[in-house]
Amino acid sequence: MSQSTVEVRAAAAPAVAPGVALDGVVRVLGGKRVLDGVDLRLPVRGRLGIVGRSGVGKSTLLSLVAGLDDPDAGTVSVGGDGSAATRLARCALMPQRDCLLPWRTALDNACLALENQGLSRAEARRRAASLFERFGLSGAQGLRPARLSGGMRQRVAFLRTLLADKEVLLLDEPFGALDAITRAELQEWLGAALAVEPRTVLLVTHDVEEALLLCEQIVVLSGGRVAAELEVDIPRAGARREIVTSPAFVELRERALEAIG
Amino acid sequence: MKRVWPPLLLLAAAVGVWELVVRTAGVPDYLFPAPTAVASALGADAGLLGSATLVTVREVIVGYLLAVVLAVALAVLLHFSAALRHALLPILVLSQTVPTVVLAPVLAILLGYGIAPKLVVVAIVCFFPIVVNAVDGLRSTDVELVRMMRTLHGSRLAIFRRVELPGALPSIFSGARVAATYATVGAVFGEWAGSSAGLGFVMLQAQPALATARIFAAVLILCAVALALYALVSLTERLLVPWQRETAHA
Repeated sequence: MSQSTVEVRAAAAPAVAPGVALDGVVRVLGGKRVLDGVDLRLPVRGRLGIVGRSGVGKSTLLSLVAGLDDPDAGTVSVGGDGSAATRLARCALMPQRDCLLPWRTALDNACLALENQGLSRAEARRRAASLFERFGLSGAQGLRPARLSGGMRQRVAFLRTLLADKEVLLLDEPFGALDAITRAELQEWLGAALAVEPRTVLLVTHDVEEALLLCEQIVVLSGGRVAAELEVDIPRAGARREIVTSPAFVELRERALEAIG
Repeated sequence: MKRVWPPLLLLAAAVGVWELVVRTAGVPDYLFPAPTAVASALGADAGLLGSATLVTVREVIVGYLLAVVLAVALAVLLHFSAALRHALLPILVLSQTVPTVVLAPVLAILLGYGIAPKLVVVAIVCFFPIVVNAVDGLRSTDVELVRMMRTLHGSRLAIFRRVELPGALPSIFSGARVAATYATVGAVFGEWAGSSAGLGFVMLQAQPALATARIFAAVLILCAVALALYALVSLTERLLVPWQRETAHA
């Protein structure tokens, strides 16, 4: 898995114009400076994890990058363009809850972005179905969300986001509501999926381990600012248990936890 | 089906007591007919009541459908225009203080003795609960779903078609179910204000003739019509909103 990721990164365009860039971003909500001068750089096809306590402005930051919101000061740009409309056109958001539409089957939920772009339902289904096969969701196509397990729902929600065909994926606590075992399973699944379908990824999570496992770079938010920036330079081959107990991993985790405070 | 039995048994018991009291006290049928008298009126006047029922059912169904279409259309309009919503919604609520019964004669003068004034009365009584519920349903859309849709190439129209409207269906149907029980009342008021056919007309004709059992029979048929309409709307809801039962059972 790590092998192919590295290859893709090498093949990507030189990261002169950063995929996602935040400069001195301030966002005030309800009189509180939720974000108070945040700078970030995320290269094309890079994966950045944003960790921090709840209420530290992680979701606010994703809304800004997504183009759903504008900063009070500073600039947010995606692919070198700072307008909200461009950001909205280039980013796909996977919200905290799966937000699957209860009246659509799993397959039709995944089809949403394709249908929104004007594809016929048949064509959208054909394209989504091939992804279902590839990512271990065959058999779930015809089920409505109420019949799916929490893990399955998140997988469908991720495929829906992937099928929007955007360069930047914004994942907001994608596995926050899952039990520990399912979460570990899905982290592995997501890593594999991103190796096959590489994108520029911004992952917000309160789970430091998750960020370290999935991202090449992590940023700790605290008090509305970047409290620490860590390069995740760890060997990713082997079983999860070996990775998370390796000295490099443990050290990074300690540094991140310390910065979270 | 288990929930059907207790009210059915209670109803049967009440009918039994009614029969017993009327018979033992010797109340004449023109004052207060026994259930058996109502039943025999149903049989004896079957032809008269049957053709009257067809007239009234037609008023009820057409008027009701008119109300549903207009109410949902207006709700969508109000949903898209905040200015219109702020201006019109209070007036709509205020309009409910006008007793519809009073409107029926006015409509008869205005539109004559045909089916038109009845349709309007039925539509007016059914309109309000559907509009209010539909507007509520459309407005209570989950913000998070809208945000998600916007980042997935969702235009305003796509958000309406794929998220807001299907999400509002349960609310729209709960309004439509309430309205279904009002429709027959509207039709009878319309007929009372001026008509030459229908169950309301039959009741008016039966009154001076002291054919009280026939009036009761007409009322019974009206109840059945309302119940049938309610059942039909519920069935439509089951077909159009199948995910709601699934979600409830999950």
